[in-house]
Amino acid sequence: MEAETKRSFRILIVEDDQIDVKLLKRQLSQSRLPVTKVEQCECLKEALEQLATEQYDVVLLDMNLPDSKGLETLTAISSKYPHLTIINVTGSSDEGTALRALANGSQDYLIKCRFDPYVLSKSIQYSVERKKNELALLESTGKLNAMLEAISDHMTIIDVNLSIIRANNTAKATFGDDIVGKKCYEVFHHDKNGCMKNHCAIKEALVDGKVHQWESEVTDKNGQKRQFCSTANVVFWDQQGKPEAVIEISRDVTQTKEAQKNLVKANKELEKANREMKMMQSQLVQNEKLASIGQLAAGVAHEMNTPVGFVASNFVTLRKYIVRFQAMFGEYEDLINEIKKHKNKKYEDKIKAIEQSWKELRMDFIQEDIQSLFNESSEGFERVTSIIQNLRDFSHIDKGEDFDEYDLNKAINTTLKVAKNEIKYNAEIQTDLCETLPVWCNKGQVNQVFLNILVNAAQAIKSKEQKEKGNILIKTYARDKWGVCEISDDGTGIPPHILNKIFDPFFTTKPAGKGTGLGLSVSYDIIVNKQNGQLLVESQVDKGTKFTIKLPLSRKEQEEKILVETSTDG
Amino acid sequence: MDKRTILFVDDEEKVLKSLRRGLLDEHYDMLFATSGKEALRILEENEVHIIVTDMRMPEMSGLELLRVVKEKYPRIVRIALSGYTWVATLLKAINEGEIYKFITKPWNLDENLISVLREAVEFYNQQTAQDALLEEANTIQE
Repeated sequence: MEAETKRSFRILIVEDDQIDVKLLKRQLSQSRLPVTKVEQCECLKEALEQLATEQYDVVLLDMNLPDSKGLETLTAISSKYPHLTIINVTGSSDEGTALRALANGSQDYLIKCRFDPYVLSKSIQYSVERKKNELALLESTGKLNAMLEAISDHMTIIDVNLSIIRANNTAKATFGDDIVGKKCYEVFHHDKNGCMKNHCAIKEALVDGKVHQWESEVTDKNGQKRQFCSTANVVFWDQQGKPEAVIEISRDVTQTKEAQKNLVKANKELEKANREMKMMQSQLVQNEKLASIGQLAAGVAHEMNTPVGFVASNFVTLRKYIVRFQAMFGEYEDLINEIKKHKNKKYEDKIKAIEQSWKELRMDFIQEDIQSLFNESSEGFERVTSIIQNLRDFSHIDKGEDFDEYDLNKAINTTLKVAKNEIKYNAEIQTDLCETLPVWCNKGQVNQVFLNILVNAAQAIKSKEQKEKGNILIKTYARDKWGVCEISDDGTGIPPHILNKIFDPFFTTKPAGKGTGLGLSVSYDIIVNKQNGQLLVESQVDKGTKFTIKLPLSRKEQEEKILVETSTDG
Repeated sequence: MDKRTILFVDDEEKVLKSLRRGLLDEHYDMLFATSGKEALRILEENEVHIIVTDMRMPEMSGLELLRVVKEKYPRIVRIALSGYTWVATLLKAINEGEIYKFITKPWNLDENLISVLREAVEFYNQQTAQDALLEEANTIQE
């Protein structure tokens, strides 16, 4: 400060009245103010030239010059040399202009003939000092502003009336240049009729004075929705210590959110693909299993055909032989009875021996049993033959032969005729069939599948051992490119742990001899591998089971269906 | 009607024996061969009306045998008795050997084998009757 007070001033007097100039100069010299130089010029043009070539600290300015009048004179100089300290020297008549000049960049004003050297010296010193402070303030405000503008997030200051009192460039760029003075809800949410939000972090911050963080959706000046992540904190407090305004800083996270959403979506798609892959894999495993079992089965079946063939044939012949033996026995018996009638002592012993042997060899039992022995055994042969037949069905790998258009409803009616005897004691059959359902398939194979599933359904109901009859519902309809048939029963259901095994070859829950364990795997093979369809199962223990058979609709039907769909769309 | 002669061919002798037993009550003369070659030898020495052969046999297959039979003795009614029922095999047999019937193993004696053989005999008889008529017609024309 010592150095400051001792500093010496470079002064330019801009005044066209030479008497006033002389007066000023005299008073300056009398004031003992340290002065390096005092120069003068008479008009604005001259002053500007002088200022351009020489350095000055203070300008003593009369605003009414030959070439410029009033405030214009002041602003011409102050705008070009903002660091210059300007003191107006004015006639007493023009005090109003002098006061306006203070607001426009001059530091002080002196009325001619009303100041003395002391006042002049003080005015110069204070003005220079004021200018210096003003400049410093201006600089720090500028820095502060620059700092605020450098924030790339959206910054707004909102007062208790929810008016925006300040906004940085980022906020203006997003919401419009004219947002200062508008209501925050109007700017951020385009709500014209007041704030619609019950919970708003800005309002809460204005009430509780705490820092709030939140995420919200706002609408920018173009009507686009944007996702914002914001914080609000009180900037100004009133004299009672209540919040007066909050500063809100928001980051646009639209892209991050979008990316997040896409990520979640991509993840979901990945999960779906994964599930499908797993399903496909299990189907592939199933198909592979069936193929290798099929090959094995075919080999075994063929090898068994010959021995089973002659054993079964021999067995039929043996039965015929036995019939003949029995006939001959009958004749021998007649003979013995004849001999007994004549009571010929000669044969008595022999007859007794024969009767003894008959008893010892338990011939009565054998004669009685022989019938059931044959019946049971031929049933066994039938079973063996049917197993071989099933195994053989497996080995018919030929695809695409004997394919034809076939009405699924007809398939069901045909199969029902065959299966009726098996089912009628255990279940009522209800059908809910659509009009026609022509699919592209091999008739015989599809009939076989229906038979397998219907018989299984009947057996599932039977094994529930309930008094009343169960129910089997058969439903057909078309969906997408599929002809669909659902066969549901209210039988025992299939426990979850074996549900994935039911299509495995030789898997059966029926007691030994009651099932080959091939019915469903053959069905699966037929529908999925041979007919390019789908065979699905849903089951709940004690509630029942539903098999869904899907076969490709015949091409004509598919085309018609597409036609109908497009016409209803239009 | 004359007694008809049937030749059975199978590499498995037990099959042949069981056929002989099974057809005890049918009034056929029965001949048996365990290979294609043996069958051809028998055909040269005997008059045979019906041939029943297995398909899969070592050396000469049933199909090869039937092909020869068809060429040399076209009147003989040809029947296959086989456990191998691949569609491809069946088609080949039917197309190339012009088989009258295909009986699958295991066969059902009463319901299948016997009735097929009776039909075959009937078929043979009809054919000979036809041949005789034709011959008669020819001689009359001459």
